[in-house]
Amino acid sequence: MRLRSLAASAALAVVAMVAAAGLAAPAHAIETAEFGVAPTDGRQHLKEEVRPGRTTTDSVRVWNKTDHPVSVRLSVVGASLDGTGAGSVRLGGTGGAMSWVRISQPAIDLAPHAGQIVSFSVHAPRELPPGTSTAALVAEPILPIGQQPAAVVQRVAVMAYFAAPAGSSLTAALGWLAWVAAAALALVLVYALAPVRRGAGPRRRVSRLATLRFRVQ
Amino acid sequence: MMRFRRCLAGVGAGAVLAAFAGVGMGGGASASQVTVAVNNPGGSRTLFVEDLLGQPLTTLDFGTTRAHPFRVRVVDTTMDRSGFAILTSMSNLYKVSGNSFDFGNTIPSGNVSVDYPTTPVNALSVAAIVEPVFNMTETVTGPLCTALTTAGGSCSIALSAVNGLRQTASLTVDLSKLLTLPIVPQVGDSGSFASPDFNGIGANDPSKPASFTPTTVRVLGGGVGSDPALLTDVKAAVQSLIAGSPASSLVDSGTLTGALRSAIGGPVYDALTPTEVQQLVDGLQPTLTDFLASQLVAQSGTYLSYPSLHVNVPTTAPAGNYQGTLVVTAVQL
Repeated sequence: MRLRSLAASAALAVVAMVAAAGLAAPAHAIETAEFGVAPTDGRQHLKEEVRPGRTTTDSVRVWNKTDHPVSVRLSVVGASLDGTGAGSVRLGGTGGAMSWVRISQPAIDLAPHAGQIVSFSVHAPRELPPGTSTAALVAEPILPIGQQPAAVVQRVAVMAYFAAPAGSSLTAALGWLAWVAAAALALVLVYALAPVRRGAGPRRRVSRLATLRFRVQ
Repeated sequence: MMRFRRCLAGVGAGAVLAAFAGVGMGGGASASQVTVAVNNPGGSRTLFVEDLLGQPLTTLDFGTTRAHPFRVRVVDTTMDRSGFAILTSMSNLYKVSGNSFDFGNTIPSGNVSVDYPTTPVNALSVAAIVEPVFNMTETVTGPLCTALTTAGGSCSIALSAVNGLRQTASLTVDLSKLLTLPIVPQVGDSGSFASPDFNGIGANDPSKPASFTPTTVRVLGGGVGSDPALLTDVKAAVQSLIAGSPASSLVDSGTLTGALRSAIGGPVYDALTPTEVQQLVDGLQPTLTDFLASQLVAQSGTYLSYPSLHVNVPTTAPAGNYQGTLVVTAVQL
């Protein structure tokens, strides 16, 4: 019960912090005339340190700049940089790190001049590609139901960079499933190598493994 | 009763944490508040997609010229030193049928292309936000010199590498030397939208695939400037901005007196009266040192691009009105 109480307190605290954070002026923001998005904690980029097979969480802040309610959809798209400098980015495709990211709340309704923090999780694959992987977190307006599709859609996107810490392994250590499989294999071997109890004479010393070999022959 | 208490405890914890958060976000100053100036001021970068009169672009009317020029404007307000790209993609153009669209009759997005006029980009109101560093000298004469020497000091004072207050210096924009700007505007790419986007009008296209990669055409870019001439220009602009300003208006008072104390020695400094210290501070002659790239912490400015959409209507297309959606994405790199 005490745990529940603590959890409730922590939840309330988080809500209070989120509400307060919504009032802060944006930093490192990319915006349209209507809404904006920025990494939380005043960071310049979404730079995620990932470890193979592990999940990390992070968040962005989305806010409404207008006097009317705005709905925003968040999504993750593939993004690539060709390495020749700024502006060489390409969006789209299903590769890269886009499949690693899950957004907790893909659609957000924002009251006038309100902001909201949206968390996302990054589940790195068990085998990481070398170097830095990229994706882009895109925010776009959701049209009210019944409204004609727009001729011009304005979106904003924040690049996200994913890399393992320098010098760390790019491959995950064996997980619990692998250990269970190894244990099962060991049991099978023990069973196979155990002396046969049936019968008498020389066959007593013949293991099940030998029997199996005999049958195969 | 217990539940009520737990609730109360929760609200209390929340309120305390919210109060902490509020303090961190610049609430009213208090005696116990510690203010820390972070290295990077943050800021914002705003995308505007407009017609050539500066009104928000809401329709795409190719008219009889089958061309539609428009303007992309990016406004940096004390924005950190990061690049950006403005990418466009295009849906197919669908034939309008009453209040809906005839998805069977389309002009493929590949028939829509982008090009530019002779002056494709522009930059306006560019300013560099910098953290200058000063060397300072002073030759003291008269009674103040006597006071210094009596205390064991020298009448020639030199302070080196004193961190100054952040300054915003306007830079002259020369379109032939864009490389010397803090953010270098990059001309967009020309080309057609070979693969369509299925955003906007295209979202209801029955032939919309489960996953798609639309062709993106960059219509404006911004790279972080690193040309050596940038730092020279910034220094000249700051020099002009602060010309004639006393040291006390360029450096935080605590930093300045701390540097002065280090320069003349603690025992000498401590032997001086507050009036004598103030006289020394007032007599310091600041000299701006050469800028390092790390001292250029942010920039403000407006960057403009003037792309023009062109549509090549196939001869087989039935007569009528066609509409599509242009998707413009501002990517923060």
